Amino acid sequence: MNASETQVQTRIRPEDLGIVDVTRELAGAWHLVAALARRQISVRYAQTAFGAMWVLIQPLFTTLLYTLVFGLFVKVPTGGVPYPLFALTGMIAWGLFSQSMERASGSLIQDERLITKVYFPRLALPLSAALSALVDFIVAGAILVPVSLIYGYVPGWSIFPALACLLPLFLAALATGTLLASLNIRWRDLRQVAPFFTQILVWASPVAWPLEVAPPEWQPYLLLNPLTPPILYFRSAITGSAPPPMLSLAASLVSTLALSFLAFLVFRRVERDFADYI
Amino acid sequence: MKPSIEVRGLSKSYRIRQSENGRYGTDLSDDLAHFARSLMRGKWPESRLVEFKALDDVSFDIMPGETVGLVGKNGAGKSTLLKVLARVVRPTAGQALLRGKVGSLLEVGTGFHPDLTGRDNVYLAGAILGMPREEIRRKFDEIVEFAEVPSFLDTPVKRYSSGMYTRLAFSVAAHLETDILLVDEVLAVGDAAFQRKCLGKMDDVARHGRTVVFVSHSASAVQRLCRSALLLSRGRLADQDTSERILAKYAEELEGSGSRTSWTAPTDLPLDPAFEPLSATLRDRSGQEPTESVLASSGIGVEFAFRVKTVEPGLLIGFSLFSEDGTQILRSFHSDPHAGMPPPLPVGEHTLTCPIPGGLLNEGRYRIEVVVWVGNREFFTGGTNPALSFTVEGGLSESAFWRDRRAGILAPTLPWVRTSA
Repeated sequence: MNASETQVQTRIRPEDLGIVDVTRELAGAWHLVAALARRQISVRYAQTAFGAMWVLIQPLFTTLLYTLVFGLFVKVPTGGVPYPLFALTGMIAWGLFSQSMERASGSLIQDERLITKVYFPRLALPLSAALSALVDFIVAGAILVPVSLIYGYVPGWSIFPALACLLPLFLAALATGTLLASLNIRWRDLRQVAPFFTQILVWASPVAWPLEVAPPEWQPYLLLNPLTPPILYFRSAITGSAPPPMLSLAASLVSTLALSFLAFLVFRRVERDFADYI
Repeated sequence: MKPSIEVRGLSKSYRIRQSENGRYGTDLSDDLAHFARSLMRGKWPESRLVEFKALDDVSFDIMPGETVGLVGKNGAGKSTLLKVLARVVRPTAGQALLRGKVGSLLEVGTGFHPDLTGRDNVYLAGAILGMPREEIRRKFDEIVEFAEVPSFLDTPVKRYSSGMYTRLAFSVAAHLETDILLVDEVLAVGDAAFQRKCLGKMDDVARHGRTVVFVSHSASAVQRLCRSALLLSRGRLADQDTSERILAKYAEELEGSGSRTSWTAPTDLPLDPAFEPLSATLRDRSGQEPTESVLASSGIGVEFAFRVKTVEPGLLIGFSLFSEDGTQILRSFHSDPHAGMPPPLPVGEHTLTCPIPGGLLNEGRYRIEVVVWVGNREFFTGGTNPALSFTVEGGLSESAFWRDRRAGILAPTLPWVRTSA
């Protein structure tokens, strides 16, 4: 009976799992995360031919609108960067955040049936939902290439650290989305919060406007928004505009990690009786 | 050899949230309003959680290779126990240890997405049930062949007939390679031929030394598949023995409630702000409580008295009729004769009566359980439903040729018409 000595064991207890066990379990379920993300993507892209188009139309149209209002009417100073390129870089980075966040926040409610019928690491749901938004980011990001070339900007090697800087942005989206998804299970009427939240955040982050237009004494506070430094850094890598201070990037990373931990705690508290609430 | 399932002192309490209108509320605005109202009345808000024990200190062992049936009345805790073992629901106390890879099948079609093709769904559902992609690829042909849907693999499953859908879904789950398989009454779906095929497949599973835990209402399925069984009663483990003995005991338990023709609300029933049951009674044709068996031709009435304390538009009163072996024959609600929801019952005492017509039931013992839904919350939980029972004897037919119990569950008198050329 040697085989049975080495076989897997499942221990069922009332207590919550620790963060190490949760991570290990989630890592062990990577093929499930991949399958769920693949499902999201194929449902979105296979079903409507318009699905893929929509990923491009959204940032392009918003950029057009911003260019009209801020580039043409208000004439926001962008330090020599053509406004359309300025706004598009902001929109692409922002889209990564808002898409991942909104999908993650709807993920638990969307699959509540699954939660009541089969066990799997529950974090796989928000994680796969957020990951599926990465495809949208890549598709939308591809239009940055022709647009920046049109304006004579050739992105250099700095694009790689810029992409790395988007990692905390993605983590922040995952954390916020998971937090909202958990609260959503507990209180159904919070469903409307996520879209409202993105509405506010898009104006609180330098997507359509440069940091320099804010009063100088406000700027340090604006940099405290964890989304601000990654967006600025991404933009500077493509357009050569001034990068944010390194310290602000570090601060953004720290507050994102703190947010992630908070989201994990709330998620775990709600997870305890998921199936009871649903 | 170590047991493949070890359960020690397992308990599960549900806390049912109850708002003032008796509804199960999960709106933040509702919670805040309750909080504010209580404070305005000068009281600290009381918890609105009503607790009930679905599982109470259950312990047992199951050895590798055993196929064990889980039987018990509605609300006895069978499904809760299975869900705890499947890790869908977290226990409140106690623990369980499962040795080996666990697969659960609480529903057919878990994880299927209507917009995806049959092929995509096989991979998706497989991944959700815990199969790595390579394992599914290896067994793909076998799965498809078992399901008998090879020519529809690239069609979205929303265009499948329900039979095809069920077959494919079951087939994925049936090919899961696990040491322990937890199965809820999923076999109750699909056509008879496929059901037989599924039972056969489960037999195979058990014969390969794997452990199967099987929840079912159907005594015959338990008898056929399981050598041993567990009997649950009101959340507690009543007995663990061979399936013959357990099924006999279960039949006794069903009968044990006696030929009960009336039920009065026990005094220890938890108080509910919206609803209070008073009594349930069986009535024969003359309006009396039947003292002996009733004739199949005369029918029987179910009468339920209760008090409505808060007007609740979602209040539904009904009953389930079970045959002796626990098969649910029908369920009826007082709203059935209405096109939409009936007008809400006003505050006060009411009696609802539902006659089960004569010329419908076969000879045998029957059990009736009253069910009440307040909002979307079941009022009686954990096997506390008012239960009544009666025996039907004689009066099966006008015909002199059929005096005995008929084959089949029901024995309705149907009108026959002859047209001759």
